[in-house]
Amino acid sequence: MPHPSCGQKTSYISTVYNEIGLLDTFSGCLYGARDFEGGAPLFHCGSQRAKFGMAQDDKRAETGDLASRISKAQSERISVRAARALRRNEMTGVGRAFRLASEFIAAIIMGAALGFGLDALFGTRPWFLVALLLLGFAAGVLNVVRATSELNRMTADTAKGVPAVTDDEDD
Amino acid sequence: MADNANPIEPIHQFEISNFFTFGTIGGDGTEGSGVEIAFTNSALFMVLTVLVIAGFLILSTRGRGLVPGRMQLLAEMCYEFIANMVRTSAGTEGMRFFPFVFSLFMFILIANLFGMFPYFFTVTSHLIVAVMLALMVFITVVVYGFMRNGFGFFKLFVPSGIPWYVMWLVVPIEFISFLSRPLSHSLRLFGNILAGHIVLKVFGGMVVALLAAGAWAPLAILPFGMAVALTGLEFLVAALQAFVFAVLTCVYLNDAIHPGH
Repeated sequence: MPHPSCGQKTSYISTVYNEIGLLDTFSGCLYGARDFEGGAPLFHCGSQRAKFGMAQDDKRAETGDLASRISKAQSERISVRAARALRRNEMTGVGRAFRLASEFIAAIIMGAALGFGLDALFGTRPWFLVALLLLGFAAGVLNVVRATSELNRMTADTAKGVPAVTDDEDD
Repeated sequence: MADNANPIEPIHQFEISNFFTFGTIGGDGTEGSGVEIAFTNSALFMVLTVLVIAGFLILSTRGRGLVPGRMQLLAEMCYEFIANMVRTSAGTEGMRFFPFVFSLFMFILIANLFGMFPYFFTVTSHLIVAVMLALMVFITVVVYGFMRNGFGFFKLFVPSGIPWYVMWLVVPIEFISFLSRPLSHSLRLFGNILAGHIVLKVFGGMVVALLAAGAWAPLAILPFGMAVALTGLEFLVAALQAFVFAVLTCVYLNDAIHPGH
């Protein structure tokens, strides 16, 4: 598989790595972040290719074995990680409570502060304070509902054992 | 953690002390007026945090092995973890902010973990630090949101598909909800770390007090067990809060990239 930007044939091991997706950053030729929009890649990994590309045929059996071992270990690790994440989500009830409480309280404080400031600006005490405090309560409930649905989605995703995928399209 | 006259006092660990001062800003020249600019213990631990992160990443990726060693694997796992997080919650376009999110995550994580050492200062246990980090995110969201979407960014406050006669109520609620973000973002980090360290210190202080109370000394095992358990929990909280801060940063950045629900 020749890489578009350098035209060289990549070694077998890098193909294996790309197929099983072990090295997200390794695009066969360039050692840089895949989606990083920084422009130029960071490092060329020519030395590695030279090192690993030498005796390709001799290595083929060995790397095939290695690849299967890697993918096996990886799938084990993913399931362990999913179980751990699930347990973590269930365990930190305190963290959940703190998250929701801070979302709720922050909106009320912000509403009250905004009302207080507007009252001081227009000299209409206490009407803005009263109105925006109530709106702050509403915003707090909105925040809590959003945070809860987000937490539930995260828990559901970890329960399924797959990372959440959102669409990138503008909608 | 405190070596002063009262070892049970749980707030002492958060005290700021100056190592040396650069001078004062403002004031009328008398003692205690104006704002003193000083290199404090908080500043020292921030510098140490940054040095540890930079040292770790530079040294671990120096080998650039195709088959990573242990340290390189650790660095790559950090990268992968944050990169996946950014991609899932802010989309591929959000990778533009990867360096920002990664820096925030690593800084908070290492600062929190530094706080787990006895006698060390916990940077994130001060509200001002958490608020500055949250404001950095907030200002980035606002500035980038307007840069990218222009006035389309206001769609964030106008949910689609609601009738016009409830608009006057929904828009202020959405606006307050948006403004409350940096507050809850910072309060959560600060509150978790502060509360955890105080509770840890209170149980530690109970051990000391019971050991000094003669016949009651054997009971000291109870708060000691609690302190051990809480230490484990605090390590979890330290990592979890860094994670939560980074996740919320991604969620907020997503709003800047795709306003309108």
